[in-house]
Amino acid sequence: MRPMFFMGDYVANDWVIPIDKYFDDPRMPKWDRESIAEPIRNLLRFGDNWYAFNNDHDGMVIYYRRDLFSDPKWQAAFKEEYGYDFPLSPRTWQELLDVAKFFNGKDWNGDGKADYGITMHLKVGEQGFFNYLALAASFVVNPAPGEDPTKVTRYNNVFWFDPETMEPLINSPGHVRALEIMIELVGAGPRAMLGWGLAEAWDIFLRGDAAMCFTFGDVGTLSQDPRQSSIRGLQGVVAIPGSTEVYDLETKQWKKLDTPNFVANESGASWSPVISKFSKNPDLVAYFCSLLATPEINHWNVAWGWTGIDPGTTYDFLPPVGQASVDDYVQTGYSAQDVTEFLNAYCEMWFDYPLSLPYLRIPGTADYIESLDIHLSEALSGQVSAQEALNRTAQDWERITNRLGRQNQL
Amino acid sequence: MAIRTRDKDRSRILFIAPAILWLLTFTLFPLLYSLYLSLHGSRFLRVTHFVGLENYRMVLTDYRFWQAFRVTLTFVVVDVIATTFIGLLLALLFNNPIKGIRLFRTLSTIPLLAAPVAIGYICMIIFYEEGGPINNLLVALGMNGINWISHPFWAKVAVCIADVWQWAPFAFMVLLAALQSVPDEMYEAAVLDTVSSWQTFIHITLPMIRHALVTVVLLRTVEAFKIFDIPFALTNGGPGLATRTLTFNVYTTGLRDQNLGEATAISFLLVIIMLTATFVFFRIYRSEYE
Amino acid sequence: MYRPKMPAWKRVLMIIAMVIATVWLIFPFYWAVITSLKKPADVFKLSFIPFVQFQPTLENWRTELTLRTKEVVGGLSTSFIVAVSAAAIALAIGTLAGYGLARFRYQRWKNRDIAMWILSQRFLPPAATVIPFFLMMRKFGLIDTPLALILVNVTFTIPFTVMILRDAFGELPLELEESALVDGCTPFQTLVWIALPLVAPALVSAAIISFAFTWNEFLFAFILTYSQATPMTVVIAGTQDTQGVQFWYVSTRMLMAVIPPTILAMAIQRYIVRGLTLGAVKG
Repeated sequence: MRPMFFMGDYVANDWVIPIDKYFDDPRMPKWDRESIAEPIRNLLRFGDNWYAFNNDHDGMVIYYRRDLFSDPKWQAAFKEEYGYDFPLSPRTWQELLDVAKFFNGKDWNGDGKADYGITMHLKVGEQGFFNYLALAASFVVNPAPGEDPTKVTRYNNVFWFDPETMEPLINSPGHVRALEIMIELVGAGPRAMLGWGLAEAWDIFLRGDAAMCFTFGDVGTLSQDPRQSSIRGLQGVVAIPGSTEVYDLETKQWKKLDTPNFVANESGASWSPVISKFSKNPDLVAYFCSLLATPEINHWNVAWGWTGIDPGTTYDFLPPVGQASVDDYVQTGYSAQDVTEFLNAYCEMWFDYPLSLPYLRIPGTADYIESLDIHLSEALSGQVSAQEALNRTAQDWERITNRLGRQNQL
Repeated sequence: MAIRTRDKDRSRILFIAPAILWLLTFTLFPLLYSLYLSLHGSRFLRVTHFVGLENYRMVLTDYRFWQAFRVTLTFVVVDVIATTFIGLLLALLFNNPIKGIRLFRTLSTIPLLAAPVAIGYICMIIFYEEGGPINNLLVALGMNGINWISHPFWAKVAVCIADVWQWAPFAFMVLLAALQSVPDEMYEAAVLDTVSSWQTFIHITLPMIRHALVTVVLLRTVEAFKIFDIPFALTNGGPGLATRTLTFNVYTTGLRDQNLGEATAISFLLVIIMLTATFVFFRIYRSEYE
Repeated sequence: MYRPKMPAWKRVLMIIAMVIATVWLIFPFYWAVITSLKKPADVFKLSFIPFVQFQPTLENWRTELTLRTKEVVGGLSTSFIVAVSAAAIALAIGTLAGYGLARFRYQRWKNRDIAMWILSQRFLPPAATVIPFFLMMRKFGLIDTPLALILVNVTFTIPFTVMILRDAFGELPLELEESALVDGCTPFQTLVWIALPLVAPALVSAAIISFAFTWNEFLFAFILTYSQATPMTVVIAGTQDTQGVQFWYVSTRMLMAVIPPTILAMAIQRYIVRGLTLGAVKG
């Protein structure tokens, strides 16, 4: 099982082999490639070839406390404080930030101490950069004009680098604005989250001390386990918000939008099996969709590794898009309303969002991400400004690109 | 003191040969290999071509290296001073016939041989900001909890506390052993001269334990330069780069980013820094030793 | 030792200081122990005393030792195999070299230079050899095998065994060995039959220190193993439970990792000062 985020490294290292030849091999069990949501389908492929089997579909969503959000008392107080109606499902990051700030520092669960607005997992070397990517996408990914908004040009639907020069875009104004919002979001939750991995960030939400949790699909399942969770039946889920402003790299201006710019994210490892080139018997491995561990890949993953299986295919989702039914889930122990919220949020993101965050899938991804990760942490913990942190990242990225050869990376 | 044997040198050599061959194979050879790597480019764990000192230039112009250098140096200085000072204080205090001293000495050995990485994780529980014992206690006393892990300054403090906790007992035991070997007559003479206890310490005790004190300081200095396990377990080097040490940098650069050349260049710079420290060590140690 | 009579207030002060120092020393372990005995719901509460402030449970230990035997028992047994093997090899090499350095005069290099050179291995940062070591082990197909860990840990512990045994042999009177040589023993026989039994305590302490350092080693173990040969230090660093907030399992594992070497350390506390200072300070 490999995190698809690092596919660029695997393919470049020649560690994995394409699996196309197995699709029509009668010895192999069939799996339905068409049922996979588009953004994920792209993820499993590289160039013209498929490299990975379908398995897990990570993406980030916002979990919230349905009981709090639907309470008229809080809704009224919110309106008084912020001057607009309580956004039941925040459509923009600014709204989300307001809600987080609103609930932060208030004792809304009545346990005698102040509670928190939002929680994330931002420890260095954990997965905080995925939060950032999910957030930044709607400020940076600029839809193409005309028929096909997903068309990739030099200025549209790009996120990481200028596709013509490999100059980093990471310190462009869209990114800086996004990081500034993220810094504010950290202020609307426990500062301790800067030292938290996944489990700690989830725990405070599951304990009932945080109003929202911005993370992967795992919480949707964990919240149903009464041993860990005090919020079963109280969980709401929304797809990640968008932004009404997006930075246009062509005109070098902010572009105002009437409807928020929604960008789906496949943020997360999306653990899927690939076939290692070092496998002694690739056919056998393919059959079991498993992988013989190899030192290179393993080592490399030790540094990054994690778990969790999330929905992403039509047979996971509810009608009209999918073919699953709530009962399937309730039978396995889910609260009906919780799981409906959960599935619909993912469904909306995978199938309704017009754009999606392009993955960075070039050789050296680990190196680029490592740099981004530490500089994000520097900015979030207040050691440097957002602009400075991203400038440092851009500087590091240039070094990496030069080292690996600019022409190779393009 | 040497024994005379009828055999010639050849059989004597056999006694030290295994040790020397082993260390040549597993220390000197890797070091030379490392030097070779640091002078070559690499792409995904494969060596490409000779690049001269380019890797060193890259490392020395990378502020991540200098940041790790500063962090490492901070840990070394704080750890050595705090460990030695606390150890000396305890040793002076307990260099007296007092009930329970033997038990206390026994307990002092516990941290010494506990795995640092395990200590790092225990400290993660203790320093936990939302419900850990220290912050719970502070809150119960009406104070604010401390951002042990999430604040760049306090994260350094937390790592230092963990490290000092592990090694102060070492300083204590070494210095206590040294104090107990000071002959009583020295003190008796001092008492006859009715000098103050501070003067006794400066003029009699300190010179007598100088050797032990130097040993503690230098051994701790050398070991503290290697620090990796505790920040790895406790803070993962963060927030930002606040607790990322040079060894940590070698690991991330070499095995996570797969940049062999720069990783080995960093490790050589670390060797040079430590050689300087070790050189000082041997200058003093050798004259004291034997 | 010279002992002036202590005034009562000074005694009281010392006892207070000793209590504080003891609490400081014990607290992390105590906290780990009680956390491992707490129910998840009690973990984040400020409670110190079992039965009085919270109801202890053995559930966590039971889960670890019955449901997770593969990880826990696997980690412990790998640690044990690696540590015992490394200690045995380092001891054998160290005994020979220690004896050689204590008893013979070497010509080309002086004894002292050889000793210093061996000692200097301790001052080399492990980071200096970790990358080439990884590549070498990969070349030989030894990644994720106990053998790789044994090789590296013998390298790290040889300085301890050589220095401890050199000192121990050096303190023995020469007469016995000389008469053995006169009687026709080879130097090797003299070492094995005459000198070795006399340095038994030093052998034990050198073995235990080597064992403990190997058991505790993390950096190389983390880089050289990933699934089949992970020792306890890597198991605790790699599992979801320890990285997450399930502190009750973190505690059980920490204790399992820490207990074996610390118990052994208490057994040799007379030698530990000398051992850890590589013979520079006689305890």
